[in-house]
Amino acid sequence: MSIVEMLVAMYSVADISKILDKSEGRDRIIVSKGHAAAGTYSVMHEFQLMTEETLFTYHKLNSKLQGHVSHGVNYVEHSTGALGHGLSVGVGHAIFLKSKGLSSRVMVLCGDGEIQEGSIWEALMLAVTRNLNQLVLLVDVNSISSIKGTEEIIHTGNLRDRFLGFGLRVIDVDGHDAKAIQEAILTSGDDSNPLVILCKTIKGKGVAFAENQPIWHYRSLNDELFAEAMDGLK
Amino acid sequence: MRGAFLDKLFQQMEVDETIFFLTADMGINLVEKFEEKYPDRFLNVGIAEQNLIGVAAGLAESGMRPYVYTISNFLVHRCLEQIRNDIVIHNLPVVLIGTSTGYDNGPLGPTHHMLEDWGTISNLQGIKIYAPYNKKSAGSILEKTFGAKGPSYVRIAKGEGIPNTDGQMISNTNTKLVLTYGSGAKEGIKFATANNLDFLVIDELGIGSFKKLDESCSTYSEIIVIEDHFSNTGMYSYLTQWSNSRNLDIQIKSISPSGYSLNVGFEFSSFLQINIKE
Repeated sequence: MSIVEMLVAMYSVADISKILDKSEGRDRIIVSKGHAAAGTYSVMHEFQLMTEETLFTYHKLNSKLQGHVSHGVNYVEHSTGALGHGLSVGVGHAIFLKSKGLSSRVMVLCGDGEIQEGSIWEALMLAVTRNLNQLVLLVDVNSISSIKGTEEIIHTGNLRDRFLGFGLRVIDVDGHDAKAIQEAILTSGDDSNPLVILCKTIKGKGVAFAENQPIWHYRSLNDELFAEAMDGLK
Repeated sequence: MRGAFLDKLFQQMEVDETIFFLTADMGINLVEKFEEKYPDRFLNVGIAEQNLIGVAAGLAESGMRPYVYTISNFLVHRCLEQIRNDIVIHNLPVVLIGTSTGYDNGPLGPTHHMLEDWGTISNLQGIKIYAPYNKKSAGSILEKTFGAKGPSYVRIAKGEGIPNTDGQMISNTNTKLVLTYGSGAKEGIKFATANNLDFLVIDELGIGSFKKLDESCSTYSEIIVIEDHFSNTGMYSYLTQWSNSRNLDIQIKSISPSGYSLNVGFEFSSFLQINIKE
């Protein structure tokens, strides 16, 4: 739930017709926190990249819509699920676009727990070295990792300073303000550095019993809780 | 072999503008010309192998054909998850070039011994595995990768390999065969010749070797596998799988490393000589 507005902002900025054409110069969206599949597929449906019929097969036997984002689903760039992979792949796409003189963006969505993976920082160092200013990393700063609060597990300190120290341009936004995220994305390319957007979010936003509760990383809704959640979201 | 492989790849970059060469800061005196002539299709990602594989995946998804170069031990074990998830599951035409095999780096210690690399990779489904045995074989393997639709791992031993032949001596009368590859080939052939045995050096490993085994190995009553890799995931294992799947009655023997060596100066050739005599 914390990533819904981030996804909406990314797909709003992207030229959907080029994604539909799978053209070389399309904007790339890579959801590196692959467990956000339900949110990703719902937003793809809103942007005409998936039919409602397909969306409602989510998690059903033999459906392509599994619990982690999959390239078996049309218009998904890359399968993710093991954390720390998507940014490197996005860097590869950005290097290609730059070498071809194409101005499209590569937008990668990572979790704030995910950035504990060392490969994230390998990718960032290369992105800065190569001045990949078409690359936008959106970090879902919901402050919760897998089983605990992020800061309780690994001290990340001031994230802004960390990314600045690596040479990136950093913008802080309210991660539930899609318009603000969209405006931040549109500033990419303003200078030679890749852009990081730190999106401050609430895990389980809008569902009172799940908000900020790490256990809801793992639980599924029963009919009663589903009704309660939907009431809360209205 | 390594130089021959890279020289031919360098030539092909002129013909095929989708070839992209990547290294993780390895290949001194070998890779510089790639950067000089093709700066837009060359990338040194630094000492960051996980990123190396992910970047190659992104380039391949954009339509490029990445050739990824570094020492086998760093290439395979450090980034197995990236190879599995980002390359193999996506069936991308990425060619992983691992240099040094077996005990090529003997004096450098067990972190640099390559005794389970292709066995590890072969457990992934849909990646081809090659091991050239001389310059001719290296060139032929490289050509196979040009039009490949999926991923490959090319495991290149140090040195020139065996003399530039087709790597086999099949008599049609002998009942015993030495089967070998990579850095084991030179000693394997020496052993076969000294004992008047047939020999076969293969340059495609794993399941991909079965076609060659069908062509050349079915009639032997005994096959001795000499390899620079642990036998339980190496050619000994694949040969027994092959023999069993064809209901053949072949006695299969293994001469191969076991465990990790902590001795400075460990050399595969001396290891083989000792074990072959035993």
